[in-house]
Amino acid sequence: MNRWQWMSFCVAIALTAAVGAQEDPGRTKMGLVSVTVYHATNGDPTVAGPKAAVVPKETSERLRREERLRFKSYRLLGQDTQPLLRSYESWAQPLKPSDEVAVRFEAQGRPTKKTAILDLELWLGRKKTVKTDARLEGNRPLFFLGPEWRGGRLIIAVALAPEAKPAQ
Amino acid sequence: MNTNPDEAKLAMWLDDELQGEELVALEAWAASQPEHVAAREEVRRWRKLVTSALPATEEPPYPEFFNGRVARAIRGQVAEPAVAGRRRFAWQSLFMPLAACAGMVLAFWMGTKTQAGPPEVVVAGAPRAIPVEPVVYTPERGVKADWFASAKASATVIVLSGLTAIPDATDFSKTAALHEEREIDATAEFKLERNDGAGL
Repeated sequence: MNRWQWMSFCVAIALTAAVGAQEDPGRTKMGLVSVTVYHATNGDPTVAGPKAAVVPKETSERLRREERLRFKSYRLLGQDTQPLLRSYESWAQPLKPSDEVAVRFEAQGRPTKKTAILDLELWLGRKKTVKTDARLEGNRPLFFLGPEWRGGRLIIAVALAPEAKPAQ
Repeated sequence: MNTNPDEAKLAMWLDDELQGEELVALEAWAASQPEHVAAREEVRRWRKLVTSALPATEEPPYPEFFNGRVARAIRGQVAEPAVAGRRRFAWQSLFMPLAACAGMVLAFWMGTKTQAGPPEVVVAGAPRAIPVEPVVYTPERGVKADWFASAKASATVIVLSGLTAIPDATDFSKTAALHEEREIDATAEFKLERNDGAGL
């Protein structure tokens, strides 16, 4: 095999691989899932750190309406949005680069625009803590009341996220 | 000693088919049986009459015609199932798909009618559809998960207990991914703000 034949062979292999990767239907994005971590405390909220954002009133009121999630103040620690793929699992790491909190999810069926049923796992401290099948609706998230941290609790919210608007 | 012949030997004797010692023995017995002797004579007379009336062998008239009829009958027996099979296949290929399509359309129409039917009648005290709770599994020993649907928060809540607390030394403020504007999920439709009030 001479040089040109060898190069043609390599190019053909590369093109075949590229076409195959593009045509993998399992990587079709069927939606977006966002994972948000809040720090909820009845004490001093500033212990969460200077970068922790104040949670808007709408969200804090929503959390306070549920007695088990009721705290004096909430701070937003991190958020990650990952695509919901047709055949593959996705990982969200809202506190990256820390992997203290991670959520693994994959679709259990074809989601609609408003509803998705997920096979979902919550990992805390690199350990699988919860495994469940979660039904997410547009405005009905899943809240985990998680571990204690600095006098409060972490609340992990998993929800369907709206599709990103194209850049204008 | 019973000297009467059995039925089979008697029939053979009447037909003159008995031979040898058996014939001799039965002739000796029949000498005292005039009715049997008369019967044998009657059989012999009928046999002679039939033999004289019918030829011993007869060739079929027009043998070519006869053989042709036989061959045609054989061909007909072979070809007939094939014709019947083709007819069944034609019927299946044409009408069976049509019948299947008609059945699907009918089922679809009935389904739409069912969905568009009158609203469910609520009977006082009757149980409604029971919501199925998801399976919540906690592989870590000592960790418990309490699942419930919160109508007040319009959310599903899983309360975890028995978790190991995250050390206070862990500083998420250094790792928190809140450095740039990002998509906000449906649960947190808010504008991110810093503690100092400046938007992100």
